[in-house]
Amino acid sequence: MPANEFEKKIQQKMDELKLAPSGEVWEQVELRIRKEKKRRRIIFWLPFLFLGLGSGLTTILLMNNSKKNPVVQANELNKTEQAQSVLENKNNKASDTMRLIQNTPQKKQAEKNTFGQTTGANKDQVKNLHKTQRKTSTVEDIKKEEATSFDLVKPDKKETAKTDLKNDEDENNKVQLNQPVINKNNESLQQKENSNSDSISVLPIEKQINVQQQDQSKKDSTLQDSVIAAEKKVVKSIKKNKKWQWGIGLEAGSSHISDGIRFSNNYVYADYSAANPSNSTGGGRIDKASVINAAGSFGVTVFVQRALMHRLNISFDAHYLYLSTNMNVGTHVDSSFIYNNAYSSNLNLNTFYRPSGNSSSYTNKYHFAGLSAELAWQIIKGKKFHIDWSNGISYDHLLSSNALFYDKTLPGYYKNSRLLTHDHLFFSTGLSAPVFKNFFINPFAEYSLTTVQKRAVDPKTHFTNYGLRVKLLFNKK
Amino acid sequence: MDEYQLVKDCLREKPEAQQQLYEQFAQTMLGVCYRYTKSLKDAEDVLQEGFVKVFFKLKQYKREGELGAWIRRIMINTSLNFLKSNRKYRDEMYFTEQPLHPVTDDDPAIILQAKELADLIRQLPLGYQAIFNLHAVEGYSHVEIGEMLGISDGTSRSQYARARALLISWLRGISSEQKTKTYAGK
Repeated sequence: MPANEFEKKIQQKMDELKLAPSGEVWEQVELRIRKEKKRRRIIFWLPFLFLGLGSGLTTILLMNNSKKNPVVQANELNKTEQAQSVLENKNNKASDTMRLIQNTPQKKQAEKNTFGQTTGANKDQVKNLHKTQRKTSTVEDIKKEEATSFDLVKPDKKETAKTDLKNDEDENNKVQLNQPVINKNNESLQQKENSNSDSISVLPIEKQINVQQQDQSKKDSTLQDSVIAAEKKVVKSIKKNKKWQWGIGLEAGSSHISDGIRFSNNYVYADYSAANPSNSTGGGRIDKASVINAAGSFGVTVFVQRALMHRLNISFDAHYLYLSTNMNVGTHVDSSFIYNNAYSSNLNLNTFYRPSGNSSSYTNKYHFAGLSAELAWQIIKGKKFHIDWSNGISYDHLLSSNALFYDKTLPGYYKNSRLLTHDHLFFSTGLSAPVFKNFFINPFAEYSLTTVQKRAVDPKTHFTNYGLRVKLLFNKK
Repeated sequence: MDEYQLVKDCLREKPEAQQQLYEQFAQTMLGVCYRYTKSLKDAEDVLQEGFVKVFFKLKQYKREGELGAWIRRIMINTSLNFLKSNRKYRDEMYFTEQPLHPVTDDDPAIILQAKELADLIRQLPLGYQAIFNLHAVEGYSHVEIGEMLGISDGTSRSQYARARALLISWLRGISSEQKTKTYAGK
């Protein structure tokens, strides 16, 4: 602390210094804290929004992945089920065959049972195969299992079984044997049985086995063909969806400049000037410029799109965009002087508009060229109708503009392209629905994340643009 | 309403509390901003910016010191930032280390009113003005000033000595003029 008396006196005097600020200061402070509050609220919710979008997208991706290959998944499940059923059948067959061998009075019935169960099991398995379009390997596995189950009757025991069966055949009623014992699928075997009904005995059993196996292998090959055909079909349809499609789009709407996300024609606090001019003389802080109103916008787009996932499309486009706003300016003044202030040094001012005098309407025009990327998620899906929710980011370069700036120290409106931001980032969102097969309608809204002006002029304004876009796809099948 | 309650209400974003806080300190703080800038309009710009910061940083106020002193610090920092960022000030805001001017123990009579004295301080070159305000009025040490302005404490010291000498000479001149007027009047 300066201990000198001089500094103490200065301090004392300066503590007495009180100056009354103009009322505009509080108005501005209030306006800014309200605006900042809104901005902070948006910033606060942004991570949650991205989190939500991210988790939603992840869920969609996971769901799509699980739906993507149902054949393989079903095969895996059925393989397990069939392996279990084969094991069960194997056990049953083994026990039945053993019973067939051991219990002579029940041999015939056991034989019937063995065939009945085996063929029944085969029938079930074939049904399963039809249902699940399982792979050939599974079918071959089953064949092997069946062969194993038949082989359980060893050659020497088979002979015994044959003799036993023959004896039993003689002893018991032959009519029983004439009855079809092989399942309905095995028609050739049935025919053979019918034709040789009198002599049906142990030999036909082996024949029956062979015939059944042949028949089964025929069915398996048919099944394999149908499975391969189905798989080819699925792959073909996926490939077809993943082809790039291209089209054109036209859009028309209303654009605005606002100090926040706003889609109305409301008043914009139009301190739209180059702030803090050096030739200021103090006094009143703000001269309000004209109200800025929304005006027309349009755009032309050429785009390509393709399916990323089952319900997710990506598209890229190159576009031209025209935005405009409208305001009232005063008398047009032809001038010729070099103008200097904090943001406009050595500006050759050949023409400007006085805010007073005859009011005339002026349209600020902005021409952009840009590139954008968009993700569209099918939120509603029907057979013929669907609605997509699309979100995108675009980079737009300002090609030219005739926008006027209001400078309260002139006071007046003048052009100064140096004050405009030339590279913009737009965020867009919208819904898209097909009207005809190749023709889509897409209400949209977009907002520039970058500010209209380069400099930190308050309020920091952004472009908003909303309207209707129509899209025509050229190679949609 | 006591200060604590006022701060609490401001933190709850009650508009009337915010306005009350503004009204309570605006005049004093405009005086602070006025001393650092060259025009009232710029001072008001700084005041506006400073109060916006006050409302957004209010939750950082720990009640360890007076609220007025806390707001004052914000105003001083905002003023310095304004001087650094504004082109018309930035070009004038240069500091060169000069031979140390001997600090005299002169104690000239200050017959000026607060506003007049502030106007006199504002006539100092911008660098002198800032350093004089920071050291003589706010009481910051030269080391602190060096950190705030990004200069060495030696530069701050030498600039201050020159500013002080200049101001004293002006004050003497004013004082002698006043005396002459008084004698002439008699």
